[in-house]
Amino acid sequence: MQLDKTNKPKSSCTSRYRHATKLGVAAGLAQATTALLGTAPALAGDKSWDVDTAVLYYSETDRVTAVEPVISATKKLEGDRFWNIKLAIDSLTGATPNGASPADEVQTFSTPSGKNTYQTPESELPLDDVFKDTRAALSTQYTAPLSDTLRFSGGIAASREYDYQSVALNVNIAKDLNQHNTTLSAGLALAGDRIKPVGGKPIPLSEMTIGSNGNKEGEDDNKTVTDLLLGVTQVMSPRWLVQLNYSFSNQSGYLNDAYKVVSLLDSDGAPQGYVYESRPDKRTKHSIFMRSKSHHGKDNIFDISYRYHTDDWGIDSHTIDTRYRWQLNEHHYLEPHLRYYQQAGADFYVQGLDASLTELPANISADSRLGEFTGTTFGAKYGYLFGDNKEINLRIERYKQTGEHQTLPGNLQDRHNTFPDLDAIIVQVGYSFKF
Amino acid sequence: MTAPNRSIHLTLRKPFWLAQFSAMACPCEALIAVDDKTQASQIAQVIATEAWRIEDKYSRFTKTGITAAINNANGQPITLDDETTALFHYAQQLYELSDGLFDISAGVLKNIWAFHQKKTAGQQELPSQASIQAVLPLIGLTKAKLTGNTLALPKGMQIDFGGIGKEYAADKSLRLALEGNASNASTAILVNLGGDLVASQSLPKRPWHIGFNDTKADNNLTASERLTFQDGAVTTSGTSQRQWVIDGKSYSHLLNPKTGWPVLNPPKAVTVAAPTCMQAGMLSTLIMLQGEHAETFAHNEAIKCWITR
Repeated sequence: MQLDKTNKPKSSCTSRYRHATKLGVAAGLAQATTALLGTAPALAGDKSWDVDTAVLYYSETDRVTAVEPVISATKKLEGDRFWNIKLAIDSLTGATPNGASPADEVQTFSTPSGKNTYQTPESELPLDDVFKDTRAALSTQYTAPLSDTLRFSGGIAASREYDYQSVALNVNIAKDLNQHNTTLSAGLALAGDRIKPVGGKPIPLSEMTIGSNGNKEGEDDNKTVTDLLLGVTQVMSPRWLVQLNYSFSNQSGYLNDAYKVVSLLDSDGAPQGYVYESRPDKRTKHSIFMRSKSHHGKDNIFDISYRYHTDDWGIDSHTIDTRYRWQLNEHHYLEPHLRYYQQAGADFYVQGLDASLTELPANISADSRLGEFTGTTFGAKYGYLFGDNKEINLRIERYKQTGEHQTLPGNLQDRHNTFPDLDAIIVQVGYSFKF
Repeated sequence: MTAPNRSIHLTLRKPFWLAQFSAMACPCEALIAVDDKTQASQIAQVIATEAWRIEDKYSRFTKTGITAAINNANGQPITLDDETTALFHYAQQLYELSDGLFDISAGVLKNIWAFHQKKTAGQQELPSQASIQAVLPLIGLTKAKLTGNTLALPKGMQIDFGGIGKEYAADKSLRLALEGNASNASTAILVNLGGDLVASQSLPKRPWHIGFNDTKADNNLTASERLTFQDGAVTTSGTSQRQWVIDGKSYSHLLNPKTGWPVLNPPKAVTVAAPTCMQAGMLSTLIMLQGEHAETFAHNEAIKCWITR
């Protein structure tokens, strides 16, 4: 070690230093000090784990129910470095629309495996009611300052469900300018997904065969996602900050939902068959996000944001999200939340197709998530703060979605609800603590 | 000696209460981020009381204190309480880690240098090598035997917890304040005992800022007039205030306990940031004691510090 060499000619220190620096003087001192002052110091700042736990319950009327327990723990390391690890389990059960339109008659569909069939009563929206899925996601993120004004953050995430696996990496750099009042950030995220649909990968635009597993092309496929984020955060005053982000996302590979079909309808609107959906194998998204967060009164926080999203599938969307944290007193807060979302449907979104077409469009999908709709979320969160930085909170929200109906052969949309409204309730219970 | 002033002065400095008191012959203060004055007053009382307790127990000027008892044992073994045993053991570890540079038994050297400096007004002189040589055998903490709670010092050896006491008091008083009750544990508190600072977690988005003067950045640290930190301790050791000028040459107040002579070319000041005040204080002293090698030492030990030459 250099220290020995430089100190050697001097009278003071030689041999012992070599012994001492095996551990390092600073490290040895840290050990001795911990031993003297106690191994479990009571400093709040030394309680190095911040843990957030929550269970989210989401239920759509007559459809999917999801239960998602999440545990996220952040360890504060020396030198303002942080390490986070997060585990989430998603458990979904219930029925999900398969894309087909309602009909005047009973409809029969094949389950994804092709081994069974299920029937939808007349005038009802066909739902695949054997839908059941469990997803486990694990991620870890490390954040460290590189200098007084530069921060690095990097992470790895992986998730797995029986027909889907994903691995993702991300890196972010944030630079503080203007005496920490301005922060510029840049991030890059890459994800590689592997999709292995039950019963194989359907050939896009091919017909769903009832009671058998036909028209499949291979077992699995891949998808890659690249996200790029550029942002600036500006402290306007000690009680107000604004944020502006631009993000770019590029997806390529298998972007279909293997379980979704589109109804082929005759001139009366009666189903003649069902074809598997076909989405483009690329998608490029751009979005602009603006946010203002301000302090009011003693500890109240008003947070409002707007996001504009556009992509080459034709989905343009606007999101306004606002919440007000109202600190009732030292121990209680109430946070009303209102979110409004509006999107234009994808260019290839259809609620049904004319069966007499000699050639189907290259891209079609009847997935309602790609349709034109507006969604409103409203509710509130109540939090109780107690003890040593502990918090229990309860969030109750309602989500209502209203979609646009397309004109279908035989004016089917006049007889049946071809894009039913969605009504969901969200309940989340959270508990945060330090140790 | 007059009885020390043991009062606490509390003023509101939003969002903190500032408590000012005097301990260990230094102006001390605590910043306490609570709204309620009664609560602030209770926390301030805990901090000051702990600082005063440690001052009374370990000051070498207190005849009834533990230091006097150790120093007057005259070669006989004495039994220490648990806290003192732990502190003495800590001092032994410091001695080992610093290869004898940090030595709580080195106080007698200061007496020699101070004596020669004061001897005749206007005629300061260097102590003779012989007088230094005479006290060196009384220095060296390895000569002290600590077995369990029993301490035996060679006859004539004197110890002084002065180099540890203030930092120890800062860490202890902060911990005590945070342990006081459950809601205190997350309170933002900064304790400053005469320039030795230690703080609990700062208020969210509002780190602690301390100003320090006349600093030059260490080669790998950013120069800043203001030091910002979330929690932990900051201490400064310096020589600028205390020097002996003898025959036109200035001698630093820092003495090498092994040679008995002042450390050559110590930095003017060293500021160290560390998780605890004890670590910061010991490291800043150790860096100073490295003299001209202060920067090399700090660099090799990866100590977060600011060295002023």
